Amino acid sequence: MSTATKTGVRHQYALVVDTNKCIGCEACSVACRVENEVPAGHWRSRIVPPTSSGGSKVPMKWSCMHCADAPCVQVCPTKATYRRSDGIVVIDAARCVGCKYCIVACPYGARYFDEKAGLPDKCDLCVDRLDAGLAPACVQTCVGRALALADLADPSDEAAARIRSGEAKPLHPELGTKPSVYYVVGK
Amino acid sequence: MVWGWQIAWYLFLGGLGAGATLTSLVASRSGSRFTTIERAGATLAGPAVAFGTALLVFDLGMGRREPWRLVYLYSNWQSPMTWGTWILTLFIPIALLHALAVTGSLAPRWERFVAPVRRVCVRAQIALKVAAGVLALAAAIYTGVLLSVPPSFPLLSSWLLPVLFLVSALSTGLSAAVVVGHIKARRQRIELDLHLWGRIHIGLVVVELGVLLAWLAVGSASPAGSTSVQMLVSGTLAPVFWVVVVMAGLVGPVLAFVVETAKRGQSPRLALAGEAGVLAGGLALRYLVLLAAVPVLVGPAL
Ligand code: SF4
Ligand code: SF4
Ligand code: SF4
Repeated sequence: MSTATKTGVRHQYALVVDTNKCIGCEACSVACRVENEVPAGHWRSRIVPPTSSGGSKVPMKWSCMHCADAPCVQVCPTKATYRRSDGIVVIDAARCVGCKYCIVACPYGARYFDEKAGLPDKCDLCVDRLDAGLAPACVQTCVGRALALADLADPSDEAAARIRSGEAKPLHPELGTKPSVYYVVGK
Repeated sequence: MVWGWQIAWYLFLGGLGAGATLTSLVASRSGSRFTTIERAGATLAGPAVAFGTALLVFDLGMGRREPWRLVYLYSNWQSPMTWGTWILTLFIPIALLHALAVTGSLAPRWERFVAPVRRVCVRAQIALKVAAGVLALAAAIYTGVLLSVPPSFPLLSSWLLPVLFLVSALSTGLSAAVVVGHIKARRQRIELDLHLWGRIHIGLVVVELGVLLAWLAVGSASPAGSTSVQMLVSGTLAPVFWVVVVMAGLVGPVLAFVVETAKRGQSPRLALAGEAGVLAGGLALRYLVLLAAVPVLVGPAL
C-alpha cells in the first residue's frame, strides 16, 4: 500500500495521548464505537482507569499501539494483518481466516473477535478517514483536546515534535514491540 | 485467552498422533514381538491428527465459511501457524501411507481399493518411516512453539513449553498405541508384551514431571506468570491440576508401571489404568495451559 496520498506526501503516523488533558470521559471510545460500528461487548478504544496500586495514576486512552515490531503481524499465517508503510497496522478482511492467533499474540490486548463477521478487529487509526484527509474519530471528538494524530514524516508537525523530544513516550516499551502510540504523563 | 476447547483438543490430538507414530517406529526397531504396537501406533496416528486438524478448522471464523481462504495459511514464513499448516499438510497423508506400509491386509472387499497403494508403500517403507519420524517430531514440538512465540502470556512464552509438549506427546502417543494394541491383541487372543513399554514410559513420565516443575518455576518469574502458576497450584485450577495432571497423569502411572514392570508384565489391567491416566492428564494439561494463561499486562501492570 502506498504511503503517498493524492498530493504525493509521505506519512508516518503516530498517536499522541496527553494524559494531563484527559478527563476520562470516554467520548473518544464512544465516537470510535459509532464511527466503526464496534459490536456491543467489544472495544477498539477504551479508557483504562487509574489504579493506585503501582500502575498508571491517570486515565489512559487504550487502543492498538500500531507496533513497528508487531507480534500480530509476525504470527498472522495469512498475512491478512500487515503494517502499511505509513505505520498503520491493518487487517485485510478478504484474506483473514479468523484463526484468532493475532488476538492471542497481541500483548496490549488490543484486538477482539467479531463472531458475527468471523473476523478479528481493532483500531485501524480510522484509516478510511485518514485516506480521505480527515482526523481519526477519537481525535476529532476528544473534549479535552488530549489526543493528537502525529505525522513523524512531517518536520513541522507539533505532535510529532513531542515524540521526538521524548516528552511523549510509548507504554511498556519493555515488551519490545515499538509502539506508535505515545503518552505524555505528568506535567 | 480466545482459544477454547477445540484448540485444547487439537493440541492434545496433534501431540498424541505424533507420539503414536514415534512409538510405532521404536516398536518396529525392537523386534517382531512388538508388531501389534507398531501397527496400532501407525494406524491411529493419521486419524488422530486429522481429527484434531478438523477441530482447528472448525474453530476458524471466516476460514470455515469460505474454506478456499485456507490456502492463505501457507503464506507467512514468520508465523508458527504457517509452519504448522505445512507440517500437518505433509504429516497427515504420510502417517496414513506409513500405516498402509506396516499393517496387514484389510477384509478383501476393502483391501482391493488400497492394494495398489499399499504395494507402493511397502516398497517405499524406509522412506516413509524416515519422513513420518521427522514430521512427527516437528508436529510434536510445533504445538508448543505455536503458544510460546508471542510475548502476550508470560506462562506460555517459555522455551520449556515446547519441551513439555514434546515429552507429553511422546507419552500420550505411547499410551494410545498401547491401549489400541491391547484391544487388538485381545480380539486376536495374543499375548501383548507390555514389559518394554512400561519401562520406557516410566522414563518419559519422570522426565515430564521434571520439565513440568521447571516450566512452572520459570513461569513464576514474572508477575503475570506467577499469577498463572498460582491459579494452577493453589487457585481455581488447582483441583484439576493436582488430581488429573499430577496424580492421574504422572504419579499414578509411574507407580502403575513400576509395579507392572516388577511383575514382568503380569498385570495388564494396572498398566492400562496407567495409560488411561496418562491420556487424561495429557488432555487436561492442554486445557490448563490455555485456561491459566494470564496476559502480560493486567490490572496493576497497566
Ligand atoms: S497493539 Fe497489538 S494489535 Fe496493535 S499492532 Fe501491536 S501487537 Fe498488533
Ligand atoms: S485471525 Fe486473521 S488477521 Fe488474525 S492471525 Fe488469523 S488470519 Fe491473521
Ligand atoms: S483511531 Fe479510529 S479506530 Fe482507532 S481508536 Fe480512534 S476512533 Fe477508534
